[in-house]
Amino acid sequence: MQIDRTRPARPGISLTPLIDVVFILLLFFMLASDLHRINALPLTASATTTGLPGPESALFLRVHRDGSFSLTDERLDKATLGHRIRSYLDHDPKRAVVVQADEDASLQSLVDALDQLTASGVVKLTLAQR
Amino acid sequence: MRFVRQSPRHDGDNNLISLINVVFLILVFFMLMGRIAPHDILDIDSPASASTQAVEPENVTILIGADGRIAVDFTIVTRASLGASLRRKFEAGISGDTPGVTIRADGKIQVKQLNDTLDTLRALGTGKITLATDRTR
Repeated sequence: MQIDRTRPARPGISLTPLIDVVFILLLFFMLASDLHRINALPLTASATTTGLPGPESALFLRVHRDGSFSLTDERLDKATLGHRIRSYLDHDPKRAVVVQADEDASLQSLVDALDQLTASGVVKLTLAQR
Repeated sequence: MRFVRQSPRHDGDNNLISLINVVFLILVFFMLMGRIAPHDILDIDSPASASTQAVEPENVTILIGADGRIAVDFTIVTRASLGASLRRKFEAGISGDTPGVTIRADGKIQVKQLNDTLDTLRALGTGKITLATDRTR
């Protein structure tokens, strides 16, 4: 008996199914992944103390409901706050700052204030509580 | 004049290789950069901040939406039951010490709501509290 040994020419692997799978994977990762990075602002117990701290030398920053600030009775806005704080810190770099936000101020304005203070180099930052 | 229309040579899928290269690159980008996470139960627009500190992923998350709704991780709770459900979460935790808490609040909420939440957390004795912020705006 004679066996026909000639194999049929093997066809090249088609790339189309591979592309299908890769596109499905791509679609999955594009839809399921969250590229949005969230950051954190620490509000730890050390930075948030109940009641106002003792030293009367502390600067008192109030956040108003319209998003403006007043620093010891001086009305400031977002742009001038950092400048003013730095001039205070030039005299005493360790000066404490107490932030008190109005109850109906927006969270964004409070975060703006904390941001400005941190960027100006305030080390003792306290969020005042009721 | 005679036009000879040559049928294009079928050399497999060679012309697709560059496409596959690009698609693989995009795939690798999304796999590395993305973080596969379930969507938050509330739609929250975190306040913008220059802070670059990373959020601890194992923290318990309190979500406060712009409409005042509160959720702990993936369940909506009321203001009154927030403390109780947080305590349950803490007790269910593996380690003995209370876990950190991340507050994801909308930038438009009033500070009063944040203060109320902080009061609740203080009553529970939680030390590590972070406020989630957004760097993109």
